[in-house]
Amino acid sequence: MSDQSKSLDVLKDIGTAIVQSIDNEEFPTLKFPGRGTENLVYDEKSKRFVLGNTRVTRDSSNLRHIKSFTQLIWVASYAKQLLQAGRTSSLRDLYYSSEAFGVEFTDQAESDRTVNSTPKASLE
Amino acid sequence: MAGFGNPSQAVYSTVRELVENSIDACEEARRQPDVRVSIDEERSGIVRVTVSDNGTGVPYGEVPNAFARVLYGDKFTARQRRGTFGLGVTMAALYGQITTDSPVIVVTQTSHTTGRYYQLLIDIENNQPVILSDESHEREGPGTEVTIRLKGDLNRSRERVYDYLKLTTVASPHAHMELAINGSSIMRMGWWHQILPAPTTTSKPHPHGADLELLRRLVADAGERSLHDFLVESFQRMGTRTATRFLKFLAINPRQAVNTLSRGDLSRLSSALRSFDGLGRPDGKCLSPIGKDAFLTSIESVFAPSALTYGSRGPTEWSGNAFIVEGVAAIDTGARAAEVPTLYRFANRVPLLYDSGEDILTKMLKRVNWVQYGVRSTTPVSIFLHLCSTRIPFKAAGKQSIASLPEIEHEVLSLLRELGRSLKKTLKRGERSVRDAQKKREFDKAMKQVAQFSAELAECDVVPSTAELIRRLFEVDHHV
Repeated sequence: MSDQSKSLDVLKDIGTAIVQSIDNEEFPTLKFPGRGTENLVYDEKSKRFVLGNTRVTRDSSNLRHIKSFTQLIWVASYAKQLLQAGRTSSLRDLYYSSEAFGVEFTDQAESDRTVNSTPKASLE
Repeated sequence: MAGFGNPSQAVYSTVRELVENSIDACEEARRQPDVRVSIDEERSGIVRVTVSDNGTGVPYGEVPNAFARVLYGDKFTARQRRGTFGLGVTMAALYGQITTDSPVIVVTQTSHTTGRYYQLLIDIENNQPVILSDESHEREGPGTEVTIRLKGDLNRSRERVYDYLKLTTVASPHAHMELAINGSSIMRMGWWHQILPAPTTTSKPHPHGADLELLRRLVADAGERSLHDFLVESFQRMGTRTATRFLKFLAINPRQAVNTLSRGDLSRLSSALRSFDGLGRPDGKCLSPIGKDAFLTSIESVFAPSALTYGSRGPTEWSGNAFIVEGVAAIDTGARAAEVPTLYRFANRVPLLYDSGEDILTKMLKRVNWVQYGVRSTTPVSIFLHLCSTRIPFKAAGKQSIASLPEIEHEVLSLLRELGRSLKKTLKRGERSVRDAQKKREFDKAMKQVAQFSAELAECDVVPSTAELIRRLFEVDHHV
C-alpha cells in the first residue's frame, strides 16, 4: 500500500468518525499535538525540532475549541483534494485558499501551525 | 387667562378641558370612555372644537350653570379627578365667547331621557348663564357633546393635540380616542386595557391637612361631640388609640365638647395635628393609579418598546394630601437616545406637555446619575412618570408643571432610582443576549463547515445535520 493511499485511508477514517458522531447527535472530539514548549522535541534524524507526543483534546462542543477544530478538518479535506489530484501546495497557497472555503485564519502563522498539527491529529 | 395665552395653546387647552371632563363623566357612569374630538378650521384663525363622549350626560337643569357660569362645580372633594374644580370648560367657553362672540353649544342626554340642545353665553358682569336656545334634540345615547368656536391656530396646535390624545390613551388605557381634523380622520386609538379602574372614594381629611379653615368647618358640623370622638370620626388614620395618645400628648381633656373650644384652642389643635408624627400611611382608596398591568400594556401598545419595567411608591402624603407616584422605564420607544432619558409626565392621568423644564419630575430626572444605571448616550430610554394625588400642586393655573415639594421630590427620586436599578439589569440582559446570539451564529457556521468537510473526507454524499447539536448546546442558559 502506497503512502498516498494510506494517507487517504486515514483521512477517510477521520471523516467517517466525525460524520457518525454528528449523526448520533454527539459532539465529535479530536486530539491535537500539544503546542507548549514542553512538547517540542529535537529530532536527530531530520536535525530539527518537531512536536512531541503530548496530546490535547479539542471538543467541538466547546466554543473556544470550535475554531481550531474547523480549521483542522478543513486542512485535512484540502490535503485530501491535493492527494487525489496528485498535486502539492505551499503554506502560502493554503493560507489564501482557506478564504474561498469561508474558513478563517487570523494570520498565516495560524494556518502554518494547523498544517503542522494535522498529520499528528487523531481520533483518540 | 391661564392656558389660553396664545392661539395655538388655546386650541390645545380647549381640547384638553373638554376631554378631561368627558373621561371623568364616563368613569362616573362606569363605562369605557369613547371620546371623539373633531377640529375644523372655519376660516383662517377661527377654529371649531367639538368633543363628544358616552358619559353620564348632564342633568338638564344643571347645563346652563355647568357650562356658562364660572366657579360652579362639584369637584371640591378629597379624591382624585382629572379636572380640579370643573372650572376649565367654562374658561374654554368664555375664551371662545370673547374671541369669536359665539355661544357654547351643548347637546346632552342622560339615561332615561331623550337628548337636549343648548346654546349658551356667559353674562360676564353678573357671572350668569344666558340661554340662547334650549330645545329637545335626538342623540344616539347618553353622553355629552360640546362645541366651542374660538380664535386659534390649528396648524401649530395640531401636533400637541395629537400627542395629548395619544398620551391620554397611555394614562387611561380603558379609554378610546378619536381625532378628526377638517373632516378627515387622523387617529383612532385606545381600549388597550379592558378593565375600568376601580372607582375612587372620597376620603376623610388627613390630620396633616387640618388647617384652621378646615378645622372650623368640621367643628361646626360636629355639634356637642367630645374632642376624642370628633377626631376619630372626622379624620382618617385617627383610631381610638391614636386619638387618645395625641390628646394626652397635647394635655387636653378628651371629653371636652368641641363646640366649647376657643379660637386659640383650635389654632393650637390645628398646628398640633399638622405636625403630629405617629400616623400610618394615608388612605389610598381616594387615588386611582394606572396600575402595573394597565400601564405596561398601554405603553407596549402605543410605543412598542423592546423592554420595559414598572415601579411605584406610596401612598404617602404632602400636607395631608395622599399621593402615589408610579413609573415605567422603557427601552427603544422611538425616542432619540440621550444621556438623560426622555420623560413623559402625567398628573392624575392627564399628560403634561408644556413647561417641562420647571417641573419637579423633570428636575428629579436630571438629578439622577443615569450613567450609573448603564444608560449611555446611545441607549434610547424613556421614562413615564405618573403622579396621582387628591391635589396636584400645580405651579400655575395652566396646570402644566408640578411644583417642587420635598415629600414628592423624595418619592420621585426613590422611584427613579428603583427604575434605574431594574433598567440596569434589563440593559445587561440585552447586551448578553446580543453576545449570545452572535456566538450562536458563529458556532452554527463552524459546525456546518465541520459537517461538510468531514462528509467530503468520509466520501459520503449526505452532509449530516447539525441543527439538533446546536439547539442542545444553546438551550441551556449557561455555557463555557
